[in-house]
Amino acid sequence: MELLLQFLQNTGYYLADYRHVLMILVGATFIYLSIAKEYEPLLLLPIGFGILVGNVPFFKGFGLGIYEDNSVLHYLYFGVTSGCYPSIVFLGLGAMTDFSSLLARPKLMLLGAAAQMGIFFTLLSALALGFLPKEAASIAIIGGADGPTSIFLTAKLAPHLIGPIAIAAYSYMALIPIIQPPIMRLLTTRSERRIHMPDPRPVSRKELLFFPIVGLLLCCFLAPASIPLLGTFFFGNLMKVSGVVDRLAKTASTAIVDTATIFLGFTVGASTQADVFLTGKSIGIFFLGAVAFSIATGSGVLFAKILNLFLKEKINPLLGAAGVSAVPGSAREVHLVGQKEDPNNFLLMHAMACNSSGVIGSAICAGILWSFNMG
Amino acid sequence: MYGLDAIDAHNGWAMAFAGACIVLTGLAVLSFIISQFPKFVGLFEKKAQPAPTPPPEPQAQPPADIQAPLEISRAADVYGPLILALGEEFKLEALHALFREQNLPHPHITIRNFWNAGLLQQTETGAFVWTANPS
Repeated sequence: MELLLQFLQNTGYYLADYRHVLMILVGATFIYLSIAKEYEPLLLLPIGFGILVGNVPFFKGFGLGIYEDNSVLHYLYFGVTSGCYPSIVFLGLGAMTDFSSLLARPKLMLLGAAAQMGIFFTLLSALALGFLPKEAASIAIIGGADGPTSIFLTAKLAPHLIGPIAIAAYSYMALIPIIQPPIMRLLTTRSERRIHMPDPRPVSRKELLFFPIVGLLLCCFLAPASIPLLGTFFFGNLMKVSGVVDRLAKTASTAIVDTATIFLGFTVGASTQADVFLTGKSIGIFFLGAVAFSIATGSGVLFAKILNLFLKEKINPLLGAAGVSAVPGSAREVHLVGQKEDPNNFLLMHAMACNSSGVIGSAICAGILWSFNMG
Repeated sequence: MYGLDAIDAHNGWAMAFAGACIVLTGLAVLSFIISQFPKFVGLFEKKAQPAPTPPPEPQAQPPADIQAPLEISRAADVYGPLILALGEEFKLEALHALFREQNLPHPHITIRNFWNAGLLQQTETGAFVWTANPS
């Protein structure tokens, strides 16, 4: 009888409290959104299931939890805390990215830069709310709308915040269809949303080959701390455009990136153990994440409108919203908002140019913030 | 510490301003450099010695007046004998392959025009028959 009682006291049912139930509901919501609504399923499904796994209550000291040494989850989580998974994801992302629309219209790169202003505004807001500089920098990078970059920088500066920051970053990426369109409509007029972009010029293979090399040298010399992200990103892209290592490029853009995404999502989800995750700081991070994302969207749109004051050939300001690096969600949203106003307006290709420059921009920002806070 | 005091104490203004300037400048420079790529590539290509290329082999050209196969009767005169060589019944893939083999222009448009004009008709077995006699 005593043995049975002891067993029952070790079960999750006995050890659970309201925090576990709350987190399990969050995980279930993520799974629901990914399957029923198809919101970023590649991310939300592994994270959602990871949240369920991470919030099964257990008796501590058995080497089961993600924060316990020698547990299997702890080893898998090493890829997050060391920054390996984000770097691998960037390799695959590079091998999937087509820069031809960006090369055809380089001024769109400025929109990718402008959308990073949300990061620096949030940095100030987080400091004002009492976060330490390293924590504030990690929270601010959510404004880049780039999950792997957020995880990478947080792993380096504030590893204790990886769970909430990753969940906030990916949640807002999944919520792009809800967050971005109202901001885009608020900041643009109907006639601006109907601006057509001319077809991009054809880009030669040599230009495509030069870009990853020039991009790497310029960006990484400027912010060497971004090497782990941009190094693999541009390498992946060079493999793709070179055409001589198709097998490697294909593996990087499929099997490798998929494997990293699975473990990244799953372990980040599992890292949201209720006792670690449900704190006042997490609520602050979620609030600041929403601010960061909204300001990033708005600053991209407003910068495009400012550019239009000086340009003969106007840019559709909706494209500024794609300057955040949520690939390809924000580009798709820009395209859809443009098409609602004019079904013959095809903005997707141009928005992808802003999106890919946003990826570069947010990785540079991560490098800059890491450099500022290295001490 | 909270508010503006916290921002001042942690050097927040300088971090935000410098960070924003660095990323804007970096991407503006990259944008300028890539806008110069076409000129740079052009320079590269001028310097490169063009490899001697063998003269192109003359290809069998269809009669000039069926380059645009809009006149259906003329096209039927030219294509009809070729189609009959496929047999009484044939598949569209075979017809398309034949046109390509003979280097005849606009195979898709021509086949569609024949079909619309009733010159090509589908049988119950899914094959096609040619219903016009060659002149």
